[in-house]
Amino acid sequence: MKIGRIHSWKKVTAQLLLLAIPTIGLALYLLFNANRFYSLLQNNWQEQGIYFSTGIVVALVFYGWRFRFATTAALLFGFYFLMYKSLGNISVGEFDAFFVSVKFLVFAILFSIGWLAGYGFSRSKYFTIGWSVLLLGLTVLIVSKTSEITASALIAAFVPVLVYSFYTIYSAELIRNMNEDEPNFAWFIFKRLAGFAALIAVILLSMLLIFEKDFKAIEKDWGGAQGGKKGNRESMMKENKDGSMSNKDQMKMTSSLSKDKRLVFVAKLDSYFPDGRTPNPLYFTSLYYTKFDTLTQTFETDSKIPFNDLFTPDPSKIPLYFTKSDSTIIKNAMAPLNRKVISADIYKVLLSPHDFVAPATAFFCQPIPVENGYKDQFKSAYRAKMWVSDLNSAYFIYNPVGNKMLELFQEKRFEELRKAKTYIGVDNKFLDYYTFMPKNEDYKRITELAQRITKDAKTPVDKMIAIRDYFTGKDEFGQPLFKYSDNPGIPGLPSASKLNYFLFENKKGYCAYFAGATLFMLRSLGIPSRIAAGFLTVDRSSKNPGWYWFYADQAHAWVQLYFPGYGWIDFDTTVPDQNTQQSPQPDGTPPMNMQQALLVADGQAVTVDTIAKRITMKVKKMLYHDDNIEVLQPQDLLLDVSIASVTKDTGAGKLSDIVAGTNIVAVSYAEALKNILSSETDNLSSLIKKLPKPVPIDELKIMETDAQKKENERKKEQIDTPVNWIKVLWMSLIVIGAFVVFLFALPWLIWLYLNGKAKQNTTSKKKAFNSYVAATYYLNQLGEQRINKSPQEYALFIDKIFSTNFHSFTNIYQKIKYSTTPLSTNEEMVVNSFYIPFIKGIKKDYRFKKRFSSFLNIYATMHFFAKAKVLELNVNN
Amino acid sequence: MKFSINRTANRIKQAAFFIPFTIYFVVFSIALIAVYKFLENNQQETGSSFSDIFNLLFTVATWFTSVMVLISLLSVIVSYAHFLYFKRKKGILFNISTDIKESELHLKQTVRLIINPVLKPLLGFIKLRLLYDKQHFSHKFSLLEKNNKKLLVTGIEGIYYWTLPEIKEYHVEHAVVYFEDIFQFFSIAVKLPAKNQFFTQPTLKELNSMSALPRKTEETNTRIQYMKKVEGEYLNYKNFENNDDVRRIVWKIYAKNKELVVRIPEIMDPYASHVYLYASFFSGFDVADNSAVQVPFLNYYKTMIWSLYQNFVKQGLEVKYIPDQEVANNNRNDLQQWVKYGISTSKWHKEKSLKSYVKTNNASVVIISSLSNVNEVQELFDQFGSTITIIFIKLSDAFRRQNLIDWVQWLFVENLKEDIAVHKRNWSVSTMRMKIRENEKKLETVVGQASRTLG
Repeated sequence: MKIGRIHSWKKVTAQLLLLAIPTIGLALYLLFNANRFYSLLQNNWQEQGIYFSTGIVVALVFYGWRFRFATTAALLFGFYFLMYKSLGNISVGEFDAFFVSVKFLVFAILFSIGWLAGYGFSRSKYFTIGWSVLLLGLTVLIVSKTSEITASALIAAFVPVLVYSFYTIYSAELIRNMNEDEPNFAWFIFKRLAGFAALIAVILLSMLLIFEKDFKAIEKDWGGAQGGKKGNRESMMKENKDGSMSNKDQMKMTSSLSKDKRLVFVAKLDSYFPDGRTPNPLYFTSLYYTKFDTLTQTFETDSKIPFNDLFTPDPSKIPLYFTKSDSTIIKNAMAPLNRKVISADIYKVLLSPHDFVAPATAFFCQPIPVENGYKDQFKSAYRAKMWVSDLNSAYFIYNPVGNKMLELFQEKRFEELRKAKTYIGVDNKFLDYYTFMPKNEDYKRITELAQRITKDAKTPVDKMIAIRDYFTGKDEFGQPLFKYSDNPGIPGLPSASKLNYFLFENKKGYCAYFAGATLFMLRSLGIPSRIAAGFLTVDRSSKNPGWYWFYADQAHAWVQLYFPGYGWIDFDTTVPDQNTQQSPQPDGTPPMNMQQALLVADGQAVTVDTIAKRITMKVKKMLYHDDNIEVLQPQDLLLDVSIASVTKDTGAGKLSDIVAGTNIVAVSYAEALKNILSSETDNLSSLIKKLPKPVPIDELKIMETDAQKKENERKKEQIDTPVNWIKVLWMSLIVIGAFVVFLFALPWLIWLYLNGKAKQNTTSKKKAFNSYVAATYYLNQLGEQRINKSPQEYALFIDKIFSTNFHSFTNIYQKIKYSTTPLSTNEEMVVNSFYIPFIKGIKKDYRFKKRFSSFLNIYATMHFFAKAKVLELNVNN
Repeated sequence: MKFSINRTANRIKQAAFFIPFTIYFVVFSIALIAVYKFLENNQQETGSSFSDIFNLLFTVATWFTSVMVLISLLSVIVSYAHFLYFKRKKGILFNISTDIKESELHLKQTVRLIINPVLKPLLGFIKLRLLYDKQHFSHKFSLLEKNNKKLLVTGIEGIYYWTLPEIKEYHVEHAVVYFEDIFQFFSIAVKLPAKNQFFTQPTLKELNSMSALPRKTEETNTRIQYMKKVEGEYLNYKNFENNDDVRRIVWKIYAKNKELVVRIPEIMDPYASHVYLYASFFSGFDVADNSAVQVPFLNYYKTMIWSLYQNFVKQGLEVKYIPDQEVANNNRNDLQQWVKYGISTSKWHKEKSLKSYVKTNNASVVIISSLSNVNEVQELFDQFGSTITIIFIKLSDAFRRQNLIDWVQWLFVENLKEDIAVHKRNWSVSTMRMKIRENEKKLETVVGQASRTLG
């Protein structure tokens, strides 16, 4: 039985190389990404890639013969079925069977997709179009859901598919249309593909140039340059455009959590145990997630929470040493019991200048300067004051997971909290808000679970402990029931509740999962609760007690429960990560601030003299010896800034950054001011009169308004762009273009050189040689090549066409070349007068267009210089 | 009525050549619209990262696609305009000819085409289609060009291996030049007049050596096995030669004109030089509408005739093919070519019956088909069965018979998409089928005794 071929091997090879390999490449890329999202795939992307590639390659080769699709595919499926059946028989144990069948299913699906694609590429004219367009559409959809919102990540995810789509349409058509009888099949394909690549590169680059702004804008909006207004990174932190970091105002439960170990900020916490020496760390809170969006399965902040106790000043907007405080926060904390005021100094490294983090419940913020020696490391600093509960010590909050000491210690807190009153009498609006829970089957399941595990617990705190113990519990084999994982995978069906998946199936997750699940369990039990996001505090510093270093991987989420009288109390149900060892970061030296500010003036620069280092500022507010000076009317103050260090909230600045109109804060520690005291009656103008002129200033801080900030950013961007990869690509394209131009200009350049040489006045011998080379080169380039002709024949032939005197010149040239007899004067005359009229004679027979196109022909040039060889060959033949 | 419908359909088909885009483009557009709808359904309310990224990617994809399509379109339009301009102003060199050398080398009809000047669309293609015999047209094809090292290609020249279904003479009347873009979404066509005629050649089939007896004496250099009676004016006289019997000289003639002529007795001539080959295209049936008879059967018959002819030639016999219909006198000096041409251009006819066609006195081989009249064959066979080789070509053998393995194979393997399948289908439902099969059987019994049935 002879089975004919539909495609020759040539064509099948082309299909394999041009269609299968790029498709496999793309498939590997997609599989790699899919493996990050779906735990079902078990991180086996290489193996899955092999399934797919085998499918596509086998199908391409197989359907190169005239096999029918329907029956052969039916056979394939029959084979799958048999395999599946036999697998069920072989494997022992239910789990094994499941595992093997899932693996087999993955294999069957991927192999079939590969098979189908192979068939489509081999046979169907229209398949490629459907395939490409579908792939493009899906990519738009999938990339839009990405969590990694940076311009380059988006482009990297989208552009390959975009290019692939058009490439496939093109190359499939190319292969389909190519003539199998074509002798230089490979060269033809290569030529075409090179052309296509060039075309696509140009278009793509132009498109990227045009849309670069938009990509950047998206990165700025959603990657989070707005200091945390929007934000979507699936990390507990997000990176702002200026490189700083913030906690996010949404917390999604996604497949994976990105973590890094960069220093975010350093804090000195004025909290010690009663012994006064042992530091008592506190969790640092950034924001509260009080709402849950069921649609996107996202925990969100809410600006309209009842009894708002979240203090959110923007430290960068408060002038140095000036303060902002909100006493309603303390009222709204509704926590008269076990509370005291504690202060903390926060030195920001990567933390956004706009962000305010502090242990709960903060109510006061005062920006402070960073010591000169530390200005490189710390961009800005502020002091915070908090109304802190004794019961919120980090040691109370940590999930003990079997640490008996810690459990014992925490028992003290639980005892205290068991004394808390019931929720009767608590504001209904408050209760309703903090116990709200969406209603559907999924949440019902959570409720049932919560009721089951807390059935023995009476008080809210016992219920909380029961839930925590549930997470830290062990299964019948002694293995932990729940595991920590930064990469828990998301359920296969997008609509399935992620929390349910976490609680009942996967049982792996990071803090957002534990906190989220705890939150719903608590709320289902009627306990007002919310999620707090911020930083887990670890006391690692033995050298500097009270100083804490915060790294990006310490970003954390936990739950807060409301206990009447005690206020919001923190609990952490996240189980520790057993796989990754907590790497202790060596803590550096803390920035000590020893100086006392004697004068702080806030206002606007009026004149700036960068040479004399003098600034006149219009003072609007002033602190003098820690006293607030009454300002009746803004006053001008001359400052001596020769030793002042200039800062911005993003780090060090320059004096030249200050222009007339810039908002600045001037700080002076000068000894000269120490003895000038202000009296009770002094106001600004009377005080300024007492001060030396100019006032020596040590610290200048530029307070940028939003508009100025934007402008600066733009300027910065302009400076930053030299490493723009699009430009680099453009440059390389230009280089390639220049090379191509050079290549095509080469015949003409050679001609310029030879022509110039031929026109030179030298000895007749040299002149004859140069003229001969130039003349033959010119003729060769114009298409009158000397092939299989003797010089004489050739000269006669040329003379016949152009009616020139090439023959007589050639004779003389040959004489010079081969004999030693000197030239006669007549002959010399011929040599000297030959060249220019000859070239003119030829030129007139060719129109410019023809000459132009002839001089583009590099092959002719190559022929000219290779002619000796060719002639030799001819002779041999 | 049927004819006019066919003609209208054909006209519509031909008009469709000039639609400036391809089905490929239509499919692409439909796919785009479908994906657009799909994406639109998946669009979410604004104010999320999803919708922002989605919109941007969507815009980029749309722009990219538009630019690509626009470039494709422009490249085609530029080439088309360039071509039209030259066509109007200076004229286009368009040349179509049959490349006989290539044709014989590859046993494929090879057409050589030259178009100059013409500008290939950017990374695109120039394709052609030939219109022939008033209403037929070839596939769209691109030329097989010699590797062109020139950068600015202003003309194309190349060959095309044209697989034609019928063995006959073709008249090419027009060529349609298509300008196609990089993705082959657009295809702008220009019709050019062309003049070319050629005939497709019958292929050669290996046959067992056939025996035939030369019966015509043109030169007396081949001795044949049996004597044959020789006729003619000078039958009983011949010029005197050495060794001739002097007693037989006819002196009367010598007296009259001084020529020595000898009288010879009427003898059987032992010499015959030529095998006269007769191939009857006579049809006793009305086969004008039967596509199976008209195409595959005729092809098969021609192939067999040509093969037989070659078979005899290869045996060293002087074979003369006597056509039963007029053959244009254009290839007389190349006898083989002329025979080939004659066979190729033959058609079934009802004019010249076997009886009026075959000259029984010189015919050596008579080839008959399943369409021949049984009675006439019977008559011929009865009279000359011993001297004339009558070869019967069973036309229904043109189709291979199906067997079980074929059916299994059919299940898994696609057949070549050829017209033959259509003819096969037509044949199996044709009313003529039984009649011809019966005729075949009868002919077989008539000729079969001599076992000269070929199939």
